[in-house]
Amino acid sequence: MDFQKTASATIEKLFFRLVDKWRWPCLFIILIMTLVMLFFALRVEVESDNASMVSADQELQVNYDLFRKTFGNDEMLLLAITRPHLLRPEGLQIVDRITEEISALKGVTRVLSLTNAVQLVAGDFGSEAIPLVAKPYSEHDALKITQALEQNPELSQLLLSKDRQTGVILIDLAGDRVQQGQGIAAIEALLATRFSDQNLHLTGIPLAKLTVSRFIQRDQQVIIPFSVVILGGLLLLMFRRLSGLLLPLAAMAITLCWTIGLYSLCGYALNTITGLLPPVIMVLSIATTVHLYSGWLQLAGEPGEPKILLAREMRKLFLPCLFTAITTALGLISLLVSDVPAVQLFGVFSAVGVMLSFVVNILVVPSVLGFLPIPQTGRRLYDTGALRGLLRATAELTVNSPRLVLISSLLLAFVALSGVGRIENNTDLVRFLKPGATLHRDTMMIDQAVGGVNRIEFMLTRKDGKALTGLEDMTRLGTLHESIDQLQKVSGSYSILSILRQLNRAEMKQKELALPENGDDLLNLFDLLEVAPDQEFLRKTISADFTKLRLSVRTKVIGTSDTAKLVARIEQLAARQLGAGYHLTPTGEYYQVVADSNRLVASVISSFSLSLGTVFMAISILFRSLKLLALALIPNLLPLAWTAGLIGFLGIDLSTGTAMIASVAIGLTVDSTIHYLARFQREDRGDCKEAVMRTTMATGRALTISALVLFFGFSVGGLSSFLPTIYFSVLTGITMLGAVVCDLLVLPASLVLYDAWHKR
Amino acid sequence: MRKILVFLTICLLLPELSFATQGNTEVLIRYTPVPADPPYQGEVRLLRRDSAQVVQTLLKSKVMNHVIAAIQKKELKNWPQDREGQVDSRSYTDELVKAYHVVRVRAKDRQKTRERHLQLMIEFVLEGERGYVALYAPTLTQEGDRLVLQKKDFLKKLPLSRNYVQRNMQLIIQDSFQLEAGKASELLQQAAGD
Repeated sequence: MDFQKTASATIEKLFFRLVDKWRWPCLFIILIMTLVMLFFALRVEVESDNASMVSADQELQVNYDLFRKTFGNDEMLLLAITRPHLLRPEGLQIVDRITEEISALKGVTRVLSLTNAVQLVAGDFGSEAIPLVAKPYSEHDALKITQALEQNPELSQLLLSKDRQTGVILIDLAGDRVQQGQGIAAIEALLATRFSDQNLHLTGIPLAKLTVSRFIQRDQQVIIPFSVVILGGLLLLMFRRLSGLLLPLAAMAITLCWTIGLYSLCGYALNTITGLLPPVIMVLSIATTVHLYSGWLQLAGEPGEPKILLAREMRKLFLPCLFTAITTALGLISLLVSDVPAVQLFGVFSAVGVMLSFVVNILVVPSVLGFLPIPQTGRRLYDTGALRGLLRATAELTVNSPRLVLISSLLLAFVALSGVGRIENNTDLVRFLKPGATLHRDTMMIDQAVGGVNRIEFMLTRKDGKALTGLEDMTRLGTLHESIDQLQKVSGSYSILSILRQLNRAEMKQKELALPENGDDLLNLFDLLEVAPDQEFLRKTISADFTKLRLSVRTKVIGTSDTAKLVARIEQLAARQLGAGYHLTPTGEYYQVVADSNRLVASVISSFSLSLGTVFMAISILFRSLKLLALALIPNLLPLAWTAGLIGFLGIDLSTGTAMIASVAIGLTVDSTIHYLARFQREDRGDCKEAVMRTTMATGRALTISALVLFFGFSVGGLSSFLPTIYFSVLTGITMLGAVVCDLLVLPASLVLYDAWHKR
Repeated sequence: MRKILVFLTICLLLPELSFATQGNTEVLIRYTPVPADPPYQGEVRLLRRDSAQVVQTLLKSKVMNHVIAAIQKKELKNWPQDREGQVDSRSYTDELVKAYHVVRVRAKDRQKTRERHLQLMIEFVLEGERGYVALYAPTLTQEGDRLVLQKKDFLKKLPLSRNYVQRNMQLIIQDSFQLEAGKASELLQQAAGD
């Protein structure tokens, strides 16, 4: 107890020195530091390849590295051109021009379209590769073209829609990120300038990544200024003082500079997840300032030396503010459990931001307030109005009808929990974007026209390491293909088998696409493949020693959850139809994204339990009371349950964004509880009801204002280009409102009920 | 009498058979793997064998039928229907196909080994005023990118017109060594020792 008193006196003494003598040097040092960090903050880069969204899963990465080493880069763009009579000469000429001009661009390694695709046909001296559609294009060749397409169903399915009005141009990009970016930019420029009169649609994973990067930049430019405007307006409305506007904004700006400057200084670039750092830090920083500034406003009319009064008030708020910062940081730091670097970075730097915000607020706010006179009329201005009436009504409700309050809120939680069952873990790269976004529109259009834009890659090997050149290998693979093609959401599968069948048909001068009847003839086909002119193309389907084979499965636009189920189903089919002698490994760019997204969601959920544990451990250390700890649990878990129910009833998927809500929110909701309980402990002099009335009236304003700040602050994220960010922002904001309702209704009601039960 | 007849026959055939046994005074002028880009299917050599100019093509390929088809295609292109030498070209390609079948059958007989390459050797020879094509079933080994001739079994000698043989030798040199017509001709002259 003595230690507490001594510590408390020391803190008050330090605050007094700060507001009395140290304020100038303190503010000067902060200014210099802020300028330095601003220099770095302005240089923060935006990640262009989403590399930090790739998990540290070794097995996944090793498989993908081997896949890329064997088959080359699998990042591809799909360009669709739609015309009423695409196969007429003028349509084919356009396709040919686009194909040739894109082929010549830097960063593009290969282009495949109707006009440069080849088919294998029987010639006088064995098989011959001839163009699928021969030049010059003429009206008379329409029948020939139709026949060629019918004879090569896999190729035509890949390059042409069923109604033959949409042609697809497949564009392979260089593996190098810089060249890839240049290639995409050049393609976009070419299409916008040379082919702007054509009905073109462009999609693909590399474009999705680049689009995400562009949107992050756009969001930073929109959300940050908008946050300042919204938060500024709110502060002005609540405090109606210039200092009430400028001080929180200044503290917010300093914290933001320090955190983002530090982030940049550590060499990190902003990504989809860490793009949320600026708005989150701004909101969290303001919440602390609101409490300190409200404390200063409550000094209005207090007798005594202003600096001593200010130091005393800051001392009172120091511990609750420190602990709320710690609990918020603990909630955020729990995201380290995730093995996705972007989430880890978000967790660490938002936690750092919260702690920096505490340091900045605790130094800047008293220093600046030390220059201002204690408000004389502040209490009156601040106290009057609807808010006071509302708080009184709330306090009376909790004191007079605590059972009603508790039962109603629990009932609401039960209703909400029934919606939790509807939540599905699903991240959809394309549907991440708003329906109006070009990439979203183009992808859906191509998906509808050609029945699939995503490709799940598999690598097939024999367990004995031998070449996959046996007739049995290919026959089993053929059966697997048939089964895969029948799966829902699969629009086709492709492997070397398709080429072997074409080659066999041409070599044997047959009509049907089929495998040879004996192993020797099949080996002859592999011999032919070895000397085929376009080895680069063949290496995309089978390794040079024929021991690794690529199986590509084209799927419709589906979410990561459905894709994961599909992969599991294909693996089951493979186990049954290929037998025990083979390995079928899912991999590829798209599968990486799918696996990472699913792991991300799973790891973020697991981080919530850690977050919950650490946050409540911090509360128990602060209050050293099991009673308060138990009572604090209810108002903190209820808003999360309500939000979870809301997510379920609205049919929002659990994605990278929505999964983070719980971990972030628990650290924030507990802040209001800490402030309430800290004040309650001071006000409790034996009469619980009276203490609750006084606590609600004293802290209710600050809690409501900070909740509104958090709600509106987070809601600004609703302007983001990404739906998960929008969901995260708006739903976290709603959770904050739920939290303040619980802290002002459920927590006091629980305290009153506990007290009554305890006295009995 | 019979012995005399046999002796006379041998004496008559000796000059014709001499090409199959000679080779001790061979000078390699130039060689190159073919085709220009891997995977190589053989090697073309320009030799001077005593006074004869020889363009020797060693083929070692898993897709010998396609190599033969490629040669047939070139012959058809170089010796069209109306051109003198077309008959020689037809005789050459017919014999080549027969030789291919022979080496294929021989290879099938020893298919216990996993070796899938077939081997064939074609020689275009200019010897004074005579020109001929000789076909062999060779035994070749690989040393890096180079083929080493260990043994050769004679299959067929095809006497053809000097013009046809000379022109084809020039075309093979031009094609394999990727030379212009003039340079190819100079190289061929070099093999003649001029």
